[in-house]
Amino acid sequence: MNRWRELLGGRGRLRGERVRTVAARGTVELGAAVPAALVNVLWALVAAVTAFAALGGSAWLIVALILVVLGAWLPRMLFPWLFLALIGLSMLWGDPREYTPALLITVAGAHLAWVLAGVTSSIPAAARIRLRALGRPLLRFALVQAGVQAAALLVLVVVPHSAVRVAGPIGAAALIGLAVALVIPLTRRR
Amino acid sequence: MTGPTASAGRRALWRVSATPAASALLAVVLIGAGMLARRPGPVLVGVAVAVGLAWAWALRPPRDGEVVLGLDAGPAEGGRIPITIAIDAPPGVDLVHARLDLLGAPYPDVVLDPATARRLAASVPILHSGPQELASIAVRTVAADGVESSLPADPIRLRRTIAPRFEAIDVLPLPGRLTGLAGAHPSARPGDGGEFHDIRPFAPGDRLRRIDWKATARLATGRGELLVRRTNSTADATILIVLDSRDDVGERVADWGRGSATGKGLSSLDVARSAASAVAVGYLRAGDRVGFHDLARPHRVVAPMAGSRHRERILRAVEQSVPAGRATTPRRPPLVPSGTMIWLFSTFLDDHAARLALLWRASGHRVLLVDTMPAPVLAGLTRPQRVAHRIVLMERADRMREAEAAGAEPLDWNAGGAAGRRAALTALARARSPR
Repeated sequence: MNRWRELLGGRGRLRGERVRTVAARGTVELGAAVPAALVNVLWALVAAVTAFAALGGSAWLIVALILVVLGAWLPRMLFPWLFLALIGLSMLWGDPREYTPALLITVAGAHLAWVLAGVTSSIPAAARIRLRALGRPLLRFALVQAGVQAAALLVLVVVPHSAVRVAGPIGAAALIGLAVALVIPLTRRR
Repeated sequence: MTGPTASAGRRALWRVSATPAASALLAVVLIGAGMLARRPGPVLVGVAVAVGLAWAWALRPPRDGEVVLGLDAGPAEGGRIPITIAIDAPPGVDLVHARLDLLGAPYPDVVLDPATARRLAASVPILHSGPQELASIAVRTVAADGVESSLPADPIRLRRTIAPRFEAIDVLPLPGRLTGLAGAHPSARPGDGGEFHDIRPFAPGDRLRRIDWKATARLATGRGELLVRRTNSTADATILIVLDSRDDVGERVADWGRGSATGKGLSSLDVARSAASAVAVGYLRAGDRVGFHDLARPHRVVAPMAGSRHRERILRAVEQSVPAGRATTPRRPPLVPSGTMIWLFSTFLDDHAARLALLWRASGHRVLLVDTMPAPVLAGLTRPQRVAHRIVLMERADRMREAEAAGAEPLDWNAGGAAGRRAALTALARARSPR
């Protein structure tokens, strides 16, 4: 009994018990950084705005918003690409000669959603990302989008009568360029 | 002064993600459908994706690209050690995904741009003494728009040995029997020393300057009889520091199973290293001979010697003491020269240290049991764990009582702070060695 009392110090706790604050941990000076999950949230915002611009009050908007949620939650499961396919194909039913803010927002939003999907699918959401790390993807987005918006202005406003005729060669040229960019490095490596 | 560095080049093993295939398919479908339906909208989206993908594909890093990782520790400032992290990624990399461990604890993953990753500042607090891993880093890289990413490469690790903080002790107990023909302590043997021993008649071999003329005038009984004054010779003490580094438990009992550097708080080996260093330096300053034995590594023995170079040798041996995997029980006790005083630094959580104390006491050595167990913090323990902890402490108390009964003298290094420790050491220095 005495040993118990000695060990317990006559109270309900052991003799010498005390509480210390948890020791300091290591730190990394990251600068301006945010949780990478915020990039997923940004993707969802951009995609939602794009969906509203492209689909308006259509019933397909619900499907698009479901894909937005799934894309933000599971970006590696290719839901963002399904969403982009839905948005792109939804434009098949519009007026081919209409140069509207909705069209411009849809084109820019879909492209930005594609860029952000590339980022969210390659980094863990639990990480912290330095804001400067988004600089290069966003710069490329701005440069490509400037060209695309200029092409849209050209075919829909400057020479509207040629819109449908010009779209064909532009698309064909883009496909050929894509094929060349993808195939030539593969053949060169072999 | 610069600290240790670690650097290595890691060849990036690239893996094409699903992004290029999905994006190429998307672009082809949208452009094709737009062309067939004669709608510019899908074509514009498809063109943006196609151009973006082609650009990203063209920017891919070279196949033989290497990621060079570097960790560099600077001199400690304000209780922290600054660390410079350098990640040199090959051209074409857009994102650098780094996984860091600081003091063995995982740090949240960080994603950086290549320019920032080339030089990143970090720091870790100095929580413990002894060898420790300050940081480790593993990296994977992501090419433009996620078209490719490299597999995580093997981490590099930055290790450093932190010297314990201690204050040398000037009041130290001595062994029951001093050895040697010179030293700092007066022995019971007559010889050349300072303290008075006795007066006796002059005998052949006595030095003339030892003749005590006053005593001769006063006490000489016969004609021509001379009396010489004898003094005690000086001698030195032989001390063996035995450090039980087979376990390292922290003050946070809930962390005993993990033993994490950031979670365990003050640890028993922190206490043991500081205490052993203080004791060793105290004796070596007094000119005594000090040896060292690590119970976890029986081959790590430093024979008793004196001097400043030996002091550095002992201090290095003490600060390098770490638990060696599973606690082992050596078959043979360390060999101890006769007349040696033994300081045994242990948590006494198993029988081995107490058994050695009994053995040495039976051989006539003076043995001091230094309890290095820090005061426990029981926060986070379940009730069964608290009961288990009490049982462990009771068994430990029984062991120490048994050793005390055999004549070993206990010393709780943490009790009462520096003043309490000094008082306890003074009492031990006054006490005669138990027979």
